Amino acid sequence: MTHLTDLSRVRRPVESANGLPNAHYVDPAVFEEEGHALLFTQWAGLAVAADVPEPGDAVPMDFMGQPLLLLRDKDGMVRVFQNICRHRGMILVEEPRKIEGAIRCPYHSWCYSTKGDLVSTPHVGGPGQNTHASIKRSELGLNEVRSHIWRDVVWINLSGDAPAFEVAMADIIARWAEFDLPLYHGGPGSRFQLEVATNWKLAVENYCESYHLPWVHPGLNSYSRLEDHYHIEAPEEYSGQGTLVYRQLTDEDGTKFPDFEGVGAKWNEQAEYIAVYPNVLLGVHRDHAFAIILEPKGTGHTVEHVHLYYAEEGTPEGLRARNAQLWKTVFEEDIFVVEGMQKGRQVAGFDGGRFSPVMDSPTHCFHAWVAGKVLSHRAAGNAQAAE
Amino acid sequence: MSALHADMLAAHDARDRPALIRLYTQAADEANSLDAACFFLTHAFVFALEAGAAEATALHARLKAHGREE
Repeated sequence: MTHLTDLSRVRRPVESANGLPNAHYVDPAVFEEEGHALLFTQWAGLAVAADVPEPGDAVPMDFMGQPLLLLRDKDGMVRVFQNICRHRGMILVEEPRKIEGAIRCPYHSWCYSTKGDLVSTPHVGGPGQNTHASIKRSELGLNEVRSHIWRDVVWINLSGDAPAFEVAMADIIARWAEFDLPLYHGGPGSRFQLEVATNWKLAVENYCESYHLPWVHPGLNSYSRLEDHYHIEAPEEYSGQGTLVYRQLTDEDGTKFPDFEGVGAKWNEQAEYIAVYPNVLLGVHRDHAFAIILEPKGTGHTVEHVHLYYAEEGTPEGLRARNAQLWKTVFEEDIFVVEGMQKGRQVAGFDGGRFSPVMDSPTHCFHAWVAGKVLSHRAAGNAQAAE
Repeated sequence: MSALHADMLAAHDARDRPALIRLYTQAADEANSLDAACFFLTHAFVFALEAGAAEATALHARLKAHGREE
């Protein structure tokens, strides 16, 4: 069987590897293939729980073309459903809104509880007759998507067959066990979105290496030099970078954000920035954290959903605003490089590039993961075709 | 068009769920057959369910008493 791309050179050691071929950034067929290989079958980031703060809050979402409904049920549990009625497949919720009681399909008014139970099937047995022996409500609840909340991120496994989240993410959970504390979203000023003309993977690749910092973020040079950074690599799981010289933001009067309780002296000046494969970029510091959900919108279109978190509620609003602006500036400085690399993928014959064996290993780690998952997906497809 | 029918259409246009619950219940109460009453009761019940309105319990009980609900 002919495959869409040749990935043999991507899996080589970093010294001789090439990056992913162009098609992984520009070809709709590969985008579709990666949707299955890298996003549907893994634990992918969809949203944050802070997107639905109150019971009944419902937000329709599109994830790689799949209409989903993010919902906080009446008991406060965050759930993700396919956003379609089990009757005729009609979209249930078109706009973010509060579900006061039940979700009523706008077509024939089948109703579902916020837990997904089918609770009413009006006229299903004829006018005024709302039951029928063949329509078993217990079998026709909303299709729930497997989901898990960690670091306020709503992770989903659309295929339903990934290992349990705690198993799949055991290493990163353990690495940041000290930060396994309540997170308080900084509010409206602590969330922003960046629309970027790039493939989502380029945002991951740029995020997980420190090589570019002195060139793209010269403002960091004054205190966070390249040699103050270290690589983080967990093959098949995540990669990123850490710094040894994190400095807390202070207000004019010396006010700082409160620390996450008991994170330990190790984190006094240390911070880490990790891309958790596939599409979630996380950062932790002694006094704040952030999560970036990369929403793949197309081969060359990604929305970065950025959320900042603190150790306590009620941190100073002005300080939060300054911190949000600081990070927004940094993330905006990255846009021209991820967009420039995307444009560069239009050059016919580009071989995927070469890596610095010293500086680019976190990026190579990600590419190797992508290649491995895509190859496994192709092998599974071949096996199925052979049967 | 009866006044009730006109009120129902206005409530639909305004997406006024409390009014829809009330008007469909009224229509059920004024209906001249059980089937017609259950038709209107069903609508009142659905809008009450959607709204999380307290009337849903009584409307459900009425439908169930006539074998029209689980």
